Amino acid sequence: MSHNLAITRRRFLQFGIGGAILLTTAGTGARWFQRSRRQALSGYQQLRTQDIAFLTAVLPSIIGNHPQFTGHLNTTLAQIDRLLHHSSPTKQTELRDLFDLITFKATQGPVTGYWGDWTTATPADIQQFLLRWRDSRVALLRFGYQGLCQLCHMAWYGSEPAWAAIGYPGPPPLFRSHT
Amino acid sequence: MPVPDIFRQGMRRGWQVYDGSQPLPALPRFDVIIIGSGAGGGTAAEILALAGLRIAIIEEGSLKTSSDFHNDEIKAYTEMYQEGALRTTKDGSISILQGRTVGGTTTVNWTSSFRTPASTLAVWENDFGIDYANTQAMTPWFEQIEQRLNVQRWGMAPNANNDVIRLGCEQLGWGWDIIPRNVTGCWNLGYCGTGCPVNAKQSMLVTTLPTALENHAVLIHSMRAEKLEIRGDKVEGVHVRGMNASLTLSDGARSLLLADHVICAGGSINTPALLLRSRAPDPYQLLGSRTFLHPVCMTAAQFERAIDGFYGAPQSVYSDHFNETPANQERLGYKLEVPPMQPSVVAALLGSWGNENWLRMQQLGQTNIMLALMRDGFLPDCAGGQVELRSNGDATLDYPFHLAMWRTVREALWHMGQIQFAAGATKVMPLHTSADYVSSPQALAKLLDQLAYEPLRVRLSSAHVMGGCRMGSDPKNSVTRPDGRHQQLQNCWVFDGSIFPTSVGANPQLSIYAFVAKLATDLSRQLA
Repeated sequence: MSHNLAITRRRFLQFGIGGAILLTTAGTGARWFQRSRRQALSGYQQLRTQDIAFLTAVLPSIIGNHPQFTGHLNTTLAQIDRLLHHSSPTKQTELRDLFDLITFKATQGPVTGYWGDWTTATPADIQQFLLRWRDSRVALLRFGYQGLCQLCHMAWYGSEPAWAAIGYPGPPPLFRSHT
Repeated sequence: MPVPDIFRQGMRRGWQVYDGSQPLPALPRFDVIIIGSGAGGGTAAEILALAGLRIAIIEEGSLKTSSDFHNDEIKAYTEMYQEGALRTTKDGSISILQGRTVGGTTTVNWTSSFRTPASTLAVWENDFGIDYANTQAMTPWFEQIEQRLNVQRWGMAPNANNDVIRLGCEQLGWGWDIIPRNVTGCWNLGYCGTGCPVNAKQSMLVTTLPTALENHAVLIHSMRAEKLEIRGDKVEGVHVRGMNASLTLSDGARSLLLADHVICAGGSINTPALLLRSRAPDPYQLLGSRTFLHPVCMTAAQFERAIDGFYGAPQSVYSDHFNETPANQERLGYKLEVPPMQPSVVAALLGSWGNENWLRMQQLGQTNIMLALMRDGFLPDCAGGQVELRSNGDATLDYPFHLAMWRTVREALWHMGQIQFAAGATKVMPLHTSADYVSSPQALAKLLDQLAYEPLRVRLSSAHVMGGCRMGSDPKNSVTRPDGRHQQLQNCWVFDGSIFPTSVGANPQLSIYAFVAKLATDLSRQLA
């Protein structure tokens, strides 16, 4: 097991996230294929149960103390889902691979440095995970850091409830969508 | 609806506009099929339709018109940008903003309209044998387009975000100037990037495409050109397929559209990808190479005064003080501009997370961002990127960064910070994952010494993709001839930014319009 993971970590540089997951799959195939949660959760186009659980855990840490955020977690998740749904098969796969890497038990610990359940992670755990990825020598993990934070920030600050607290009055009312 | 939606009005008058995701009527054989409706395709469509040719325009994006534009960032990014505005280079290190809608990038660009710099034209003429690439031959074409799209130096006061460039450069004795824009009756709203809701921007959507449609052109949107049907050295038609509702892939009905001539105008990345998918002849393995981005690095600055860069013409002041390639060739030239400051994109740019990001965002209204767009393609070892196909046929761009480019990033971050401090900024921050705001030029210099200059640490982006099907007089060193025709395919033309042999060194829309106007006019004379 630990041997497989060591290979996984070493091969990141060469094979990318998809390759790493393939390697992991070879070692833990049965468990991998038993995973049933591969479909988007009802009400979402892209995000799956495990993605929502992970994002729900990390979003408050990524957004910070914005006073309006607490009541709008679902708005933000819906915006993330919308951004992914309209991107491209490639971007959708990249993000799905990223979420798998982060939430799949065999890979989560070694690549994120956090071995517990994301739903009970403390802000300090999440802080450490983000720092580890931000400062990683592995470009793929830095890509993961940037992709994750950008997606969350774009989604939240693209939502009207976020605007008043940052002094953005929004688009002129004449042109706003009334749908 | 504050202004008439001229496109929808035209459709009610009987323009032939079809949604490719729905069943199509029987279509005749066309004289010319134009693939792409942006700066290249739109310009060519007007010229060829006015010449009396029977043309079809195919666009993979959907049709969005002024009554759909609500200045909503997420709506615009998801509906009108390539890959929902999440497009990046292959390794994810450079974000790429490119349009994907009727009118292409011209529908969502920031309206800056510069003529091709003379120093760029000289390289194209001398090194690539494009004999008309000089000021004398091109001036009439620039003038024609400037008149057609009402390009004029911006007459109103720049917003405070742009004014940082003017103020800082004046303090430092560096050059700056006002940006010419393609607008008529602009409301100075600031939402060019989400589609102009008042049809002031003279994009292809409200200028050349309406003229073409009035002159019996057929437009099919939400329809991807998957492959050219090639037999020998001729293109016989275009295999097209309807897009799905989210525009992520073409999974609808297939057809083969037939034409005597085909013009590829899907823009850089997409045009080389179409030719790669079609296995177009490429005897010297040049297709998709020398693709350029004007890679952009940025600095943010906080002021004590209101900047409110989310309102007002997004780009109105620039500086070319560092835009010539220096003789020692140790760095690239770079043009200085600012981006619009709407919160979704700014939050992503300001980086970090948690309270650090939140503190930065609380200052949105007092924040300026400056950008340096690097003039790639002029140094021997900065030969741009390579367009490749993914296993599903989608395109991606592998774009390596070289030492001279990192050197340029560092220098540009320093010069932009100096301008911001000189304009009165209290704090400046290079957009880099390990950087925070610093309060003096001395502290900035020290910070820039400490930072690592690597992909996915420096925040890099691009809004200008050029090259990949470069023109040239030597078939061994070019994909297309100086007249835009494919070197090997007798009836296939490339009329978009992918024909440029280097980057432009300025926002490219006017270069694309002018070159395509010339090439399409020459073609229309041949075909008429």
